[in-house]
Amino acid sequence: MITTRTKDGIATITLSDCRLLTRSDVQEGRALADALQTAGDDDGVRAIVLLAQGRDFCPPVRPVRSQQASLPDIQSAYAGVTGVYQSLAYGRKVVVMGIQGRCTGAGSALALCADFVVMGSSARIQSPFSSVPEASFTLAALIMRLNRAKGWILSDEPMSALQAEAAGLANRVVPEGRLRREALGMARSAARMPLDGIAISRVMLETYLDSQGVGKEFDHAPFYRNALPQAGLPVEGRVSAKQSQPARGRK
Amino acid sequence: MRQYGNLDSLRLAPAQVLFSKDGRTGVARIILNRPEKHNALSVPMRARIAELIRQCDADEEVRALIISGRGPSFCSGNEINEDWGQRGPGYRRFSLTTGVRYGTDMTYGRLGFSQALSRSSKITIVQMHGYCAAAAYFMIATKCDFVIAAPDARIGALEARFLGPAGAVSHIHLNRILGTKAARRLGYTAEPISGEEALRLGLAHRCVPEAHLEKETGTFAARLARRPSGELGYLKSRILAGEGLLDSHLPVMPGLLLSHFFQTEPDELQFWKAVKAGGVAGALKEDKKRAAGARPARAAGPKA
Repeated sequence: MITTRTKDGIATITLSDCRLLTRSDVQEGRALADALQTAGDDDGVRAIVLLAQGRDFCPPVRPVRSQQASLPDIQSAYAGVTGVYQSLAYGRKVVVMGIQGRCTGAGSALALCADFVVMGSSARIQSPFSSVPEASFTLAALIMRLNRAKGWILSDEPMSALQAEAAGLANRVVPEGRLRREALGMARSAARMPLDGIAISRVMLETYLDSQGVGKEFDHAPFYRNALPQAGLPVEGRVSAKQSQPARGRK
Repeated sequence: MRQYGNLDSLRLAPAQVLFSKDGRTGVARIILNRPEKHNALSVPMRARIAELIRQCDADEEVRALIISGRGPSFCSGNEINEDWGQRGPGYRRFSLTTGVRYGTDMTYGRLGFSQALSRSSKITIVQMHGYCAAAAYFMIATKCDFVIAAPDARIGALEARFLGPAGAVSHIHLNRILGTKAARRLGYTAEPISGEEALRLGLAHRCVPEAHLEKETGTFAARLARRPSGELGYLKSRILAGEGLLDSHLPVMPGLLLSHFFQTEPDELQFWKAVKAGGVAGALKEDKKRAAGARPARAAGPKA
């Protein structure tokens, strides 16, 4: 479930279970994309904070084959131009993400797209690339430089909050108890900026990101999703009797 | 296929580039074994490296490939004082065939040895100690997935001191790894960075004391190789696709070629005269005597 609460020009979107996004749950994906776009379209909202309930922002997912969604549905909810990740990367408002505990799968993919990331001091963030085909390698390379991105992906070593800060993935590291307050504080800083300036800057940023291949990589996401079964990787949400073969989950 | 080189370099290459494979761990090793020349790569050595990478790519047992060097240095770059058939008897210029062959290696061409590394389907790891200079820096170290470096490794475009333009400064891939400021600093000063600085800049993944370097690199590679091969293959494909979108492997034509054909500074001309007279080591020694020479402490070559 996704809830949005708006106060003083800041929309706080809270995920109750980020693992649903890792599992490519179509309903959850649409709900988050809708929440991001609604906040983006609301002139009363000047910045967005993205949080998750629980000890971990996005704990690892135990593979299940519970979804009955088609590839186009998943594409539309997640990688498409109105899907979760592009709504976040190319949205109209600044998005600040607050990460506590473990952050894997979709949580990490979201962190690559968000504008600012604040991490709790004991948080750890793991590469999303084995489980989330929409995760953007180009963004990872642009954010933390090429070799760090490759090392994160291939070694599968989670980055501590301090390592993420040193690599450029996290903007701030704060004690866990102050995470929400700091995320809201960063959002307020952005909210104090002239909204037209932010909006125009984000349009210009889009040009930069697309010149670096970010948009094209989102377009390639269905191809990566189709490659997951061949790689022996879990493909939650992939199953559709009409449109695809049964997915092979990890045993 | 035509093999470039002279009788000696062709004969010696198999012993100068050693290969081993541990089928149990899935880790293969390419070991540069020309310590008396700081593992400078002759043309046949580069061809052998490319061939070994191709073999590893086709070998399902191999999941990770370590490249290391014996002796005082990892590698000092390409051999620059080499007759490999580039000029026919009585000719002053390269023939078309040899010119293209040389240019392919020097400009990250698709058929060059550097591309074999950067396009490998296996995880590639550099085990770096001592000098990692010139082509070893911009054609091996920056092209592998991981660099594990000793703290006092000396890494950089040291060739820019003698070859004029540091063409690698314009290579997108290198700028993506180091950041543009650091890439320019290395190219425009020819001063090396240490393994520790390489870690800070994002070139190296780990910095490990030289005494433990081989063991730690092997352990690291074996751990990576335990990941399912399908998963590794998928992740490598994602990275290659992403690098394609970033255009990071675009060949760099002008800089490196210009660096070889336009050398007008007296220091550069003097360097090449000294190479002819006393070899590369003699020329480096000569260069240190000049006021404009690289800092003696950093360009003095390997520790005795």
